[in-house]
Amino acid sequence: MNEILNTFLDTIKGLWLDSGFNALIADGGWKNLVMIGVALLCMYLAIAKQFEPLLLLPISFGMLLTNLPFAEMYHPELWTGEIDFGNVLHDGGLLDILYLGVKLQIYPPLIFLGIGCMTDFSPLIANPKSFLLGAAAQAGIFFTFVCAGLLGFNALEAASIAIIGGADGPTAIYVSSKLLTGEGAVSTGNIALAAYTYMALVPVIQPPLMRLFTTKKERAIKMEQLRVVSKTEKIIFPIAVTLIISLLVPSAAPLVGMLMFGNLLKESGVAARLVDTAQNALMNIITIFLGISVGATTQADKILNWSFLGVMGLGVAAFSLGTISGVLFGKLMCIATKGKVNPLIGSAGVSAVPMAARISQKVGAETDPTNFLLMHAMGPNVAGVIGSAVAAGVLLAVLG
Amino acid sequence: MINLFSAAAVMLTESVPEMDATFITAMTITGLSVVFAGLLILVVYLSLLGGVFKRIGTGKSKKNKEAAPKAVSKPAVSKSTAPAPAVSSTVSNEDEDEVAAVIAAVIAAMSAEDGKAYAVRSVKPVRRSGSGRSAWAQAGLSDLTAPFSIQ
Repeated sequence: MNEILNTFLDTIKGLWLDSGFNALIADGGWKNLVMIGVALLCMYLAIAKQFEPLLLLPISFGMLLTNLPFAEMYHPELWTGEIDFGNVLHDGGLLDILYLGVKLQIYPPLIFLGIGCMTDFSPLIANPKSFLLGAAAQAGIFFTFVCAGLLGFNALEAASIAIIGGADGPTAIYVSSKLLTGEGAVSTGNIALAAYTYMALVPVIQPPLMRLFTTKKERAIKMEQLRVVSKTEKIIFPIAVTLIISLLVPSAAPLVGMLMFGNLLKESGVAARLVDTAQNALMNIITIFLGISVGATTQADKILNWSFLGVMGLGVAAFSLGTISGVLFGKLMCIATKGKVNPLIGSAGVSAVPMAARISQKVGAETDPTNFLLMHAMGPNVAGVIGSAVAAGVLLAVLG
Repeated sequence: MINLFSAAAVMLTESVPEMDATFITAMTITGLSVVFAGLLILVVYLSLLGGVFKRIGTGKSKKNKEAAPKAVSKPAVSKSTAPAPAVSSTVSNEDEDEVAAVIAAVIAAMSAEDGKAYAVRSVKPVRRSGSGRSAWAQAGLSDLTAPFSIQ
């Protein structure tokens, strides 16, 4: 009887020692508890406040899973330094296997394929000067690179943080997953978390800056109606952009190429089934894989440190600097065209499609309710997507 | 300046460059220049392409204009004293026909009051000075952009 009782107690003790509950109250377990709290907060923001729910929800659930002790779903040690992909396949957990798509640069270009299928580049084709506003807003990336350098981040971390200013989640993940080795304090998860948080906060960050850097008279400028773009132009556009950008910055080819491939499928009008799959089923599957595996990299030691605060601070600086650069360049174009360009559309150059364009429309309509800037702002907005992909290509060409 | 150029050349060969002032400046200038250069090439290319397509479009519309007077017949205009003014065919769809009918009815009521005969020869939307859009286009735009407005 005694033996049975001892065996029973030993088994219970063993189960307790192997359980996550024990690990949570053991030394250092509080960090995991805090991270589970952060994951729950992110879930609340995604569900109740609808902050980029399609990505924040998978990211926050990935964060929850990766911080469960002994769950063994993600192994950061497999992704540190020189990666042995055979080892990942042999010893990796579910989230390690899914993270292969991030590390091998597969998911972000596929997301771009879906985005290309959903994007109408007509406002940009009708007013090609919008490209300049899309380029100007990328200044936020490079100014943030300077700030990150001054704060003591190394070149790879600085570039990964700076790309948050592109306001483009897949691009930020693409660059950071390629540059970060997993040895430093900054992870792809940190970058993605900061990027998507600030993209959700665009309606809060941008309007005050837009009002600060423009006069009421400038905000009231009404722009000429855009010309109608022919189908042939729409078909030539993705092919031309792919050729020009990929030949100039080959490292931008995976992002720009897939974006333009998706757009060509859409504009050709002959591949409706492929367009439907790319912009719905494929995009949704990749979004789930990307979100949950990126969330898995947000382990306690990567988030609960001063570097993460630095990333968040520089992230908001990147968004703000991009917005200011776009608006200031818009003012320059306003002067050059003798008042034909409303500087408010410059802020849409930071990507964050279509939210940034909607902000331009909203701030313009505040000054004059009969002013419609939405279509004009869509030009710099989609130009910003191409611009941030080019900026990513430059960073990868130099540091990758 | 020479330092910047040499830093730009070195940064393409070194694996992880040192984050000193020269590298940071060179990286910032290089990055911005390449982004602007790439998008500037696209601006020039698309402007040229747009110019070609505009010309093609203008040529087509000129041809259409030349052919148009032969095809369009004179609008029927009532000159009788009866209060039933006719409306020219500048309006085409059903909604616009309804608006034109209302305007015609108001004119007809006026003609009944003062005993004079009026003819409505055309109905054109008024262009507001400064807005660059007609009131009807403005209303249509409001309807179309309303779903995108942010609360």
